Formats: sequence, C-alpha cells, structure tokens
Amino acid sequence: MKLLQTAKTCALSLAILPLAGAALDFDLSRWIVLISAAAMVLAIGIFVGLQTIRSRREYHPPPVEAGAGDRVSNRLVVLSSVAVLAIYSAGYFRTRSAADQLAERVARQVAARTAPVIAPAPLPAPPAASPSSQVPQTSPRLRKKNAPGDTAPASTADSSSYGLGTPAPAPPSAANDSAANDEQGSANSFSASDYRPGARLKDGRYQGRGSSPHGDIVAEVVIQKGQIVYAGIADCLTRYSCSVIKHLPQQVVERQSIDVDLVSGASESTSAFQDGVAAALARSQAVSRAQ
Amino acid sequence: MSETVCRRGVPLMGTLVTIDVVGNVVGHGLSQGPAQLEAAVERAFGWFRQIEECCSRFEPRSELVRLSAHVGVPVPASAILYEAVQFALTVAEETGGAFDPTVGSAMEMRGFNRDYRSGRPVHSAPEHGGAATYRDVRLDPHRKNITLLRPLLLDLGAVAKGLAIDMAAHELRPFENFAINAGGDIYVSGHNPQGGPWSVGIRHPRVPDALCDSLLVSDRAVCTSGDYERRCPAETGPDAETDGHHILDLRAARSVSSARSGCSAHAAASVTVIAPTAMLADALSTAAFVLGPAEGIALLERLGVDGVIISPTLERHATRGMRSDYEPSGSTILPDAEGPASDCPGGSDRPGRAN
Repeated sequence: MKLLQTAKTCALSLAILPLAGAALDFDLSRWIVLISAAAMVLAIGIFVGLQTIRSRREYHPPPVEAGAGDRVSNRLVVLSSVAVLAIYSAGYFRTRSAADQLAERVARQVAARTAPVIAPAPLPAPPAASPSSQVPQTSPRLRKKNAPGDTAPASTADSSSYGLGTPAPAPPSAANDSAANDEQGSANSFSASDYRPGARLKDGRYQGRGSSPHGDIVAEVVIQKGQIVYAGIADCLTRYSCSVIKHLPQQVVERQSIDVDLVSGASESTSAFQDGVAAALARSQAVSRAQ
Repeated sequence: MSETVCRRGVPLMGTLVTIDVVGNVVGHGLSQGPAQLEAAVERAFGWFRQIEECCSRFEPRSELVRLSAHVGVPVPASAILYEAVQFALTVAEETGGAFDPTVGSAMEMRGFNRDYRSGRPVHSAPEHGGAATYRDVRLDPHRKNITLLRPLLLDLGAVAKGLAIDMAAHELRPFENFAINAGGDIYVSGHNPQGGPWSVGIRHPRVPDALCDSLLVSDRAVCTSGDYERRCPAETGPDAETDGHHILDLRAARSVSSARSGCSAHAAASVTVIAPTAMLADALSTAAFVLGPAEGIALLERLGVDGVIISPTLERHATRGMRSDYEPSGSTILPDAEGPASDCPGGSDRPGRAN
C-alpha cells in the first residue's frame, strides 16, 4: 500500500511539472531546472519503492497469538480429514461387494415373487393360541404389546436386538436346542445366494448377515414345523438406525417369504435385511438337506 | 451442569477403547435420542473392528497382509486401506523417512510378531522384506490401487488406531460432547460433564501411574508415543533406558546395518501431540519420537500442531503454543529444557543403536 501511494505521488509530480513549465513559458535554463527537479522526484520515488520492497522481503510474520484452532493449517490435517470422509462415504470395507451383489439380489427377488411360498401349508396360528409347549418363556406382558399381525412370541432371551421386531422364542423342542445353539454366531456361514425359495426348512433358530454400503444387518428367524414363526433384527450395524425397517420382520412372518416391501429412503437397509433373512433361511435349508 | 449419558468400554485393537458421551439431561442437550446414541456408539466401536480387520498385520486374512503377497502388480484396495496407506506415505515424505510404514518386516524381526488376542506368533513378512522403504509403495489415486515395488510388509499401527478414533468421532459428531480413549490415544469434543474443557493427563515416562503433565483440551486429539510401552524381547540393555521398544528408527539402522532390521529410537522418552485429528496426532507422535526433541519440535511447529517431547533425561520440550493454549499454569512437573532443544542430551544427534 505504501509503495502504491509513493508511485502515485511521483507520477503526479512528473505530470504536473511539465504542465506548469509550459504554462509559465519557461526558457531553456528553467526547463533544465524543472526536468532536474522531476528527475529528483522520480529518483526519490524509486528509492522509497525499493526500500519498501526490501523490507517486505525481510518481513517475518509475528507469532500468532490467537487460539490453537487458528494455528493449525497444513495439508496433513486436510488429508486426514478427507480420509475420514472418503472412508465414511465408501462405507464399510466388508460391504464393498454389495454393489456387485445388486444384480443377483434383483434376480432373486423376481424369483421369490414367482415362486410359491416357503411352505404350502396354511399359516400357523398365532402363538397366543399355540400350545404353550411350543412357545416356552412367553411373556404375556410383551405379547400384549405386539401388533395384531405379529406372530412372534415374546421372550427375554434376545438381548442383542435393538428393540426392533420382537424377541425370538426359544427353540420348540429339546432336540432343536443343540441346532439352535449351533446357529449362534454362524451368521456369516451362509449368504443370501444360497437361499432356494420353496426348499424345505428345518426347525430351529437361525441367523444370517446381510450387507449394504452403510453397514451390515444380522437377521434372525425361528422355524417351527417348517414355518417362519419369528423374524427379527438381531444386530443392526448400519450407520443409520434400523427403526425405519422395523416393520419388515413382521412381513416376513406374514408372507412366509423374504419378499418384503421396499422402504423409501432405506432401500439399502431393506436389501440388507432381506439378504440377512435369506442367509438365515439358507442355513435352515442346508440343515434340512443334511438330515 | 451435564452428566455422562453413555459410558462404554470394549477391548479392541489390543487395548480398551472407551467412549463417553456427555449430555444435558435437564435441557435435553442431546440432539438425538437414546436409541440414536446407542446406535451411534455401536457404529463407532464397529469402525475399530473394521479397521483392525483391514489393517492388522497379525491377521493372515487381513487386507494388509494379503497386499504383501502381491509384489509388482497394482492391487485394488478398500477405502480404509488406501486412505491409511496414503496418509502414512505422506507423513513419511514430510518426515524424511523418520516415520516409515514399511517397518512391518523389521518389527517382526525384532519379536513383535505375536497376535495380542491369541498370543501365538505369526509370520506375515515376506522374505527380504526388511530392505524396503516407503518409496517402494506406489499409489494410483484414480483406481485406488496400491503397488508394492518390492517385497515388504506394511505396518499401519501408527495410523490405524488414530484413523479408527477419527471414524468413531465422525459417528459421534451429532452428540457434540464426547471423549474417545483408545489406550491413551484420545479424542475429546465439546465439554466434559462439568461443562469445561476436557482434562487429559500425560503419563510420566519413568514413573508408572504418575502424570507429568495435564492438558485442557477440546475438539482435539491427544496421542502419546512412549518408550515404556510394548518392550521388545529381542533387544534388551543393561538399564531401562536402553531396552528396546516398539518404535523403530529405520534411518539409523540403514546407516549402520545393511540388514535394516531396525533399532529402537532413543531420542525421546515420550512424545505427546495435540492435533485436530487422531490419525495425524498418532503419526506425528511416532515421527517426533524418532526425530528427537530438536527436529521433533521443529516438525511440529512447521506443521502447525502442538506437542510435548520428554527427553530421556526427563527434560521437557514443548511447542510455543502448548502452554498458552492447553496447559493451565503449573500443570507440568518436569523442568523445561534450557536453551535450544538441540543442546539437550538425548537429542536427535544421538546416534541410533543398531540391532
């Protein structure tokens, strides 16, 4: 700023002096004096300008006394912040293949719509009307809270659920206890692609994992007499809440199918839940085939 | 007055990871409900599991170990691995190799080869992997590929935990006031239950269970690297100060031994770095530890972050902004180093010890 003002002053002086000389009709000697004065003004301006430039080159910014937040600025901070956003946008590493499974999932959904339901037998009676031996540990209090169409009996056994759906019943018989126990922690054993619509289901409790770019959903089903009597979300690992799809487990039981409604705004979570149910049912089918 | 509405601890990444979320019950300080809080905390812990699963050199099926099996060919990498490696390589360039993520083979050679979960020894490093440097790793930013130009094993231990903390902090950001502590690597946001900045203690490097400094921090990560953690079974000396530990100085080894098996850095006893992100603080604390007080403080000043370096003689070297921004008066019990940091014993001029 100082340099600019000095330059303006010099330029103005150089412009005014000749005009003044012409107006006063100077002779040669006076013109020489006038030009000399202009040259001196120009020299002074150049000198001041050079001093300004030199001092600017030697300028050192004073230590910043502001808060710590003002002191931090470098590309490593930016890079680490970008890394977080990039990973967050990309979703979990484990679910990177979710996009590759899209076409397969769509094909499976189409097949599920055209295939008969899992079992041709009529839907089982609601657990409230079922013999108590088939639904042990039923809690009347919790059952009362269930929706009318929710056929899942209540139990306090499932503490890992997010309160979505209803807790799973205990296995229907002692013979199935071991099978059910075997299924604990086996959510990764089968994928949705192993599921065969219409194939026979083995009684027991099964879990399956479905993936989405936003995280995984572990679905759980309970099979009694070849029917799905319970479906729920055992573990919601998505970055978004699973509350928006909490009505889907009920549809699985009502329709005896993985063909649930799509949820606007939660299509990925819906698909992950479907895959989880399909993987759980595939496990049940595999157990049935093995026997 | 606020109160802690959520406190959970889960053993992850070989340490105990705790998350504290503070809210204001009376004023409904939480911007989201308890269900959202529980889900967010679960997702935060999930990131630790995911990043460990991806970046562990003790897990044969991890993406990091599988990457080391492919030499000379571009390998598509997940976002987690690519970003972690990219950041580690950038820090390596900034520090002239004092921080080097290709230290995996050297770590294995020095006995850091046991899975903390099972206790079993693992062997993930390729043959002749000790001769590589960070310049032997190439990244393709467009295809997100990683290419190893020679056999090597990456070790992302100095960035992975910080990255996990940052991801967890990102999940908890809507709750404003929280603290994440992963074995001493900490990120704090907002205020503590008393409504003030969070108080973070720095462990005394020579006196167990004692603090040598106390910081008041908010919206910052605080990470410490010390020679008292993870002692090396393959390098022991006559006293505690010369025993081997887990922070290796590959530069010193390079000048001494062609085998490049690395040697423990002895230029500092502990380094604490305060930075906006935990990944940055984690990596720079390791780099400054290797560089020592003189170069370490210069590095932190140049990068615009603050930190404290405790020399092996327990002299305290701090950046200019430490006391004014983070330290209440009289909080430190160690004497400040007199004169420039390069004059202190144990400075960066101290030669590294070859294995």
